[in-house]
Amino acid sequence: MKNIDRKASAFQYFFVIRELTSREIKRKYARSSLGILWSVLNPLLTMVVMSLIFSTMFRHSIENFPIYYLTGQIFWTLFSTATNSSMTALVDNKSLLIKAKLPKQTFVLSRVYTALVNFGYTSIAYVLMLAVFRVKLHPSAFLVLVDILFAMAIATGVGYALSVEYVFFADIKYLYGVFLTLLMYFSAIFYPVTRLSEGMQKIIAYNPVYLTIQFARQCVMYGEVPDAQTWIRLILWSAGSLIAGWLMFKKRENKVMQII
Amino acid sequence: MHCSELKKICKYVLVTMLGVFSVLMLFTVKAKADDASVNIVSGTDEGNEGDDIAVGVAIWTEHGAGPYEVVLQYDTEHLEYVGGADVILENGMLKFTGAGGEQEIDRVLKFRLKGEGTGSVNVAAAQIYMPVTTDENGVTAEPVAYDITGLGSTSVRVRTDDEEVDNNIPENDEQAEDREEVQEENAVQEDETVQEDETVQEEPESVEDATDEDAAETEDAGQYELMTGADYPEDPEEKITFSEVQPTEGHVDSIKPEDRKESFFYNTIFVILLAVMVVIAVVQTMALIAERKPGKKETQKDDEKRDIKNAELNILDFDYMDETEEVRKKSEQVQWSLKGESKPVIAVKDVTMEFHLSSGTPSGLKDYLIQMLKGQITYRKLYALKHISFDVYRGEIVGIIGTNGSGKSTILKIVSGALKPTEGRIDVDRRKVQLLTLGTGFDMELTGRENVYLNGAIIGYSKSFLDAHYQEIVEFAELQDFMEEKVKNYSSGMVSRLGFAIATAGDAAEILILDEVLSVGDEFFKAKSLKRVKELIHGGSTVLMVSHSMATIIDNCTKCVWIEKGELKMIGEPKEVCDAYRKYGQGVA
Repeated sequence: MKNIDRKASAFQYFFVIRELTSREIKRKYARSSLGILWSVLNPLLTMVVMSLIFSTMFRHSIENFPIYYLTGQIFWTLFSTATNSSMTALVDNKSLLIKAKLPKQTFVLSRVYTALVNFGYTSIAYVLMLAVFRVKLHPSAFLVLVDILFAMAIATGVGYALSVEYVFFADIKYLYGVFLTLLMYFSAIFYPVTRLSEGMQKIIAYNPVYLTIQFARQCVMYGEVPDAQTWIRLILWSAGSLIAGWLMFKKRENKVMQII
Repeated sequence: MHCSELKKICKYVLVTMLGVFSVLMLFTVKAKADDASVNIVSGTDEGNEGDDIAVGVAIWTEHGAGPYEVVLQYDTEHLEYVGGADVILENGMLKFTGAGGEQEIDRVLKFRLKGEGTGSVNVAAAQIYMPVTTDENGVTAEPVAYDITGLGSTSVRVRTDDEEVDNNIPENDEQAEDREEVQEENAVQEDETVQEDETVQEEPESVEDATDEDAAETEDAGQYELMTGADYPEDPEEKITFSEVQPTEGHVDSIKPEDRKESFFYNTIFVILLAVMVVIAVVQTMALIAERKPGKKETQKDDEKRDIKNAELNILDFDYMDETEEVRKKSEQVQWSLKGESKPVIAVKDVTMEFHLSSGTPSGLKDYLIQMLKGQITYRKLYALKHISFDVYRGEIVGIIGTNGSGKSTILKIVSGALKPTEGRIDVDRRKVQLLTLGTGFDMELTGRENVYLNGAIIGYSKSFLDAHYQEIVEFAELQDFMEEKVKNYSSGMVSRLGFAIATAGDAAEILILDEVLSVGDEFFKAKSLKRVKELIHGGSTVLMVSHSMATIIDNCTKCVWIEKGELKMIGEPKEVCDAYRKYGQGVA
């Protein structure tokens, strides 16, 4: 009698995420005339700026600074925008949450997906730069897709936790901002890790964002397959982050609705 | 229409600009990339007749040399060829050939000085190819030639026996300033000459960068210091004994490519910057131009379409007016026939909802911590609902009334599944529930069309369903002219019309929950939405509605639930319940 195909809930799930994502992107660039193109231009311009300053400083330790930086930058942006925007996902969508038939996690996922779409546009700039700087690609470059999955999984878990926490304590937004700054300097985006002390290098090797960046550099720039340790750490981080985030979300999900 | 037109133009412009930009950049890089040069340097600037001198020939390329061919011309009057070349041609011509394969190729020639005066060696011609590539199929690609950016030359003066060596005459002022004077032996031997000074190479751009390192490393250089021809005075009578020291092979290897790379890199960066600025500037002007000329054509077309649609709508409306009474009767019949069904669509069973309210209401983490330390945080339990139970059967229109804050909206949220009750349970198929509250869920920055899809997706419509029912929704909301406008420009009536149209699209809503919806909008739309609700009920839907308007409840509902301060006061015929409610209200007042 009813002509809605309710069984195709997976499709519906993705449809909702896509609609939410297209809204995010439209909103983000609603008042700019270049629109989504900024996603391409922004990393390019920051690359130029950073290269002007740092490429001479690190010219002996970093072979191809612009690409080295750009690789770090785009993965960093993926993680930071995904988590930062996930944080406000529930509060921003108050009115939709009441109506939504799908799990509330959809809203967090849509923010992560938005960051991924942005990442996709940024990749255009990245591929362009790879061509300009004549980086020879090896088959290992395809591993970067797995790397993106790792980055997304980690970001999703963190996003789940943050989105719920943000409902109860809005201050977390500022704390997380500071934490992100710390994390950025611990991710070796624009400097070589070898410049750090031994102890710091050991600490930084546990930073999940640094791991994803290093993973990408190895398989795209140097044509190497990352070692087992990197793989294990990334898998553990992804799984741990997803499970912990999910549990935190589930635990307080109902309370969220009372407060919102 | 005008807005989207502008955006389209902008998009095209951007795509073309990006294309042009990238092509431009690739070309710039390519033009920059294919340089090669042949430098020629001599081991000493002067010598006695009969001395053997070494002359180095260095081929430098950007990406490594492939096959090459270099022809040298030397002065037969003052120089006698000893060895080092691959082929000896006539008239003082020498030739090098090779297959390449290295980034830098160095060859050493030996000459013997003779006669009197200055003998020169220069590169007459050079042909250098990039390394030959062979693809998987074994097909060898056409060799690509480098642009030769420099052909070097050098010269050696043959000293007469009685000549005095004069060290003090500088070639030019610049070099004189930072020169280090070195006493030279009278008989200059190539291996012993130590001259530290600025270096001048064929490429002027690299002079400054290379200087420091050259100076430092000259001493441990190879067997001979080399002099570039460019430094040699044009006037043969001027006596020069100090000259520029050219880095030997080792230096040439390590420094030159790096300098080249760096300058190339900076150039690229500035080209990118420039191109980006140009793109932005052009787009801005294009946007301005486009803004002044909105597309008139399409607007007209749309107007026509709209008129047709309006006409159709009017006809439909007229038809409907006649049928209203019939429908009403029919729907009432349906209700009574369905009431016999024993299974309720919504069964609210002993539902209690408890909110924890913290008395302090800290506004942030800092406040929270302070209050927690002071022990000020005490939770107050607030019962929004206390042991509420009622059933709703298929085809019923149930009205919920109560004073403000008595828990009406809470029960709607619980029924729709947004909230979970603290105690008790609700039996309802949540997928069938459509909750409709006033103006909620619309994104003000998006257009009407985008909001239809976004809201539709959220409340569970599939894409194909929305595609199929889009026209219907728009027509029902009477917003044909405004679907491409942003919702922030809508009036509140338009927003609620659109919300109602989405929620009642198709036969989707089996259980429709209306929170203060039917009492808004103008008279005509009110009548229209009421009609739509009845259609849905006729199709087997059930309605649960909250309203403060007693008239709406009495006119439309078949059953009424009165909730007061979280407690169920009364269930029954709308008229009776409303009367009791009114009396209660007067009593309180």
